[in-house]
Amino acid sequence: MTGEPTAPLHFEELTLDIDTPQGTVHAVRGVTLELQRGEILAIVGESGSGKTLTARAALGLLPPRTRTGGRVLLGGADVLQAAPDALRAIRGGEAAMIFQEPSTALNPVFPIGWQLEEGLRAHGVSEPAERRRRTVDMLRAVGIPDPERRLGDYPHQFSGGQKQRIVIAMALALRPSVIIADEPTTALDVTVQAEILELLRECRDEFGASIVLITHNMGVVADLADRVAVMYRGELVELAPVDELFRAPREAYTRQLLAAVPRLGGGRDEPDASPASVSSAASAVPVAPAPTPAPSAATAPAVLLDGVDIEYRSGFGTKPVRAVRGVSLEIARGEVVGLVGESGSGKSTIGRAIGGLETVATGRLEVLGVELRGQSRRRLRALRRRIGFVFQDPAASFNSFMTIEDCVIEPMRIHRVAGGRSTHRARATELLDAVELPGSYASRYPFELSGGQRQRVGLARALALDPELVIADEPTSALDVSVQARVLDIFTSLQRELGFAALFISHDLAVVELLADRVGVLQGGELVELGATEQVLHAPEHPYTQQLIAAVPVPDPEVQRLRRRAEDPGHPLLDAEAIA
Amino acid sequence: MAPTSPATANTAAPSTTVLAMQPAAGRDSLWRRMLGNTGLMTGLVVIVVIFVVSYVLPPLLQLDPYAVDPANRLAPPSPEHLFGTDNFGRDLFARIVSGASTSLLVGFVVALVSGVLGAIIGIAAVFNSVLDQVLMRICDGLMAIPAILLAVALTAALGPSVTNLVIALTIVYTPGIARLVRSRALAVTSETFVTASTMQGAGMLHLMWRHILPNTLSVLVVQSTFTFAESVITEAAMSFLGAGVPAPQASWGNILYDGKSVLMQAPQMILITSGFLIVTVLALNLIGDGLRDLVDQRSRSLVGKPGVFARMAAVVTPGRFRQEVKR
Repeated sequence: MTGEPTAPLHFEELTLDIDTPQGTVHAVRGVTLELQRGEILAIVGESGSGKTLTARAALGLLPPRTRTGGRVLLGGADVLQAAPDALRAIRGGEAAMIFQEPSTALNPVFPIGWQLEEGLRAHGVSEPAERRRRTVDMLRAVGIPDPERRLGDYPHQFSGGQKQRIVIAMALALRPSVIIADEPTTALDVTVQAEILELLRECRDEFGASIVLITHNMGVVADLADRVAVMYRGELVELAPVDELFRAPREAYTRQLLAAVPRLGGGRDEPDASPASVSSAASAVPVAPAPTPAPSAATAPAVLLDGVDIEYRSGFGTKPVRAVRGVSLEIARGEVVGLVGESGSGKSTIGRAIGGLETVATGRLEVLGVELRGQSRRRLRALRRRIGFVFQDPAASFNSFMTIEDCVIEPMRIHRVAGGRSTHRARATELLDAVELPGSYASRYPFELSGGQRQRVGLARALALDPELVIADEPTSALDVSVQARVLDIFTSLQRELGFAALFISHDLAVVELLADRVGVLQGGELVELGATEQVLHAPEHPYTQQLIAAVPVPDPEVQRLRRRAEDPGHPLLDAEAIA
Repeated sequence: MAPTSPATANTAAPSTTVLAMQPAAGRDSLWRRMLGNTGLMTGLVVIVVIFVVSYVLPPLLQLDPYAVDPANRLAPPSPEHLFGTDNFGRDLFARIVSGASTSLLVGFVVALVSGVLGAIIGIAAVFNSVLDQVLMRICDGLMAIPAILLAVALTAALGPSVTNLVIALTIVYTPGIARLVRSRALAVTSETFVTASTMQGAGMLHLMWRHILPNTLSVLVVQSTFTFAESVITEAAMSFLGAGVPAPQASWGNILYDGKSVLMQAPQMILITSGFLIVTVLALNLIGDGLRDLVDQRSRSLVGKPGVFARMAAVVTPGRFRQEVKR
């Protein structure tokens, strides 16, 4: 691993300072990194650690008002000093990029064939027939069936995984020596993720491309990377071969990062995992003056779904889409039920239906002993007082015109909780304390908080009226691992303390395992498996559940390698011969 | 250790979301943010000066826009008549100053009333699909007729007076604002925080007042200011056509209309009045742009370097205004 001058990509003391009205942000400080030929180098770190900026600097894609220092040598030439013309030749030709969100990386108004050819055109392939031939070859290579016919199709006619394949085909089109993959699988389902990772590995093996992989998913790192660079606050903290890093991380930060990764099969947290948070929660949240539920309702389960169908009507006269089919599920008082499934499996729809946002087509849906079908708006509002909701995207779930305190107080205002403004404010402070946010945050605005802090405010808001049921719809999927661990910790301890029932919706099996008493697995709107968490995740009965669990990359390179060998894809996905 | 504190606190990457994550070191007051916005302050100063001059100067200097001096018709600027006289020998300075008050009054009232009406119509339309269809078809109908034509027709029907002019212009400009507010409100309704509020049991009025209205404010304020500028122009155009402010009363449009026939003999009538009109409209547009930045909560952390006014304020009252945030 000594410094060979022919390394395709070489960062030398790269420093990026960005001038903002608040002063200079030292986004990247003195990073020295080298990408070997045919190597997959993973850069991991939290959001804001500078990992994306570092990688983007390789393409000269820097935000405005950035001052650069050091050198980025791509094939011997310094990208930072390159003229615009030279940069254009580099982009796509020498180095290419794969983006996080394939649906936004493709232009919806052009057919994919045109978009694939765009890069070739820009790099002087002027013969239309030649462009077409190479495009078809690329599509075939990345595993798009029937590429000749599909060239004229538009991005929306492909699935998410296929779109990412097309983006990869675009990146490979000019056979670049360096590929930068910025969170290439974050927006994808686990089973699709496994396929894309396999494809990336083929890219390296068949095309000899070196890959810089930016990710926060340790499972992906363990699966794919040869070496790992850990970044924290703009600095390179640790650089080690993947086995070494996972076996014996040198730096404290790396250890911390690895410890925060929820592992499938790790079991539930012991109750004493975070004694501080439990005790503070206990003292901070007194028994709120909640209306005592009717005696008959108290014995009813928190949620009861019996053969529920939910349909979406897309327009008059069209056939309704059945998002949920015949789901039967019961959540007892004080129980945490996890719901997992891939996108489009109907898990969020079930959550929305329980909150009364979707109407049930057939079947029975009772929430806290109240049948939801045909319920009047007023009764529904009264019921919602007893339900808390935590949303996926903490950035979008707050009105940016309201302070944190106003956000937490809002449910109390809506339901005209007795006591007036001063009581509400006191309660808000208690709630912020319970989610371990300092009281001084009360007067801040949501956009002044980080994602994890905002999600904690979301939790505080959901608990404001001391609900009997909390529905959490992917509350941690937009957060960093270390932040996610913290939010989950708080959620668990508060749940133990307050004893609310919870429906925890997630696509991450490991997260669900941490929290849930029971787990339901959804596929295509049907509940294919339901049982105790241990049993479902360790001895899955349904083939889909087995497939889902097998697809999750394990954050351990050795185990992951063994698993990969066991699977053994019969033939390589990428066929380099087809392109050459 | 690290995860408890905002791990990304001072290391923001350059995306706006991450920048916004920086904990604010004491939020700027509204006044300071206004000072930081040079365009807004310039516009405000110009409008306030014109406003004060048009209301304070006439009684102070005993300017009479109706005093006729037939001997001195179409006189060029002189110490006696600062801007010269018009074709009846009236003092042009007095007429422009008193015309300013008419023009600004018409513009302001039209902007205010059509802004309020437009907001009510636009937001109400989002919450009821039947109402939406009815209101929006009416708006479409009104918008299909050219603005000036409609305004002229309405004033012709109502009779010439300043009040009727205001009513006519309000009817002309409300549909545009309503449509704009409606489209913004539609987008806001699908945001997660509205769903969140609904899930907490919020009623329709609460949603409208606390969530939808504040988030449509940026669009509303900007469009209202532009409506202000546009009504000043339309008022001038209508007076120019003879359908606006009735004859002896001064308005900028009137003066332009009178000046048209004597353009060769007394070009100052057109030139000076147009100059005032242009400056006013420009200032209003600057205010509109500035208000958008001011209302948008997210943009405030991204306001650029302190402008002329912030620096002036810093000179006058040092200490109260940090010139540059040190971090």
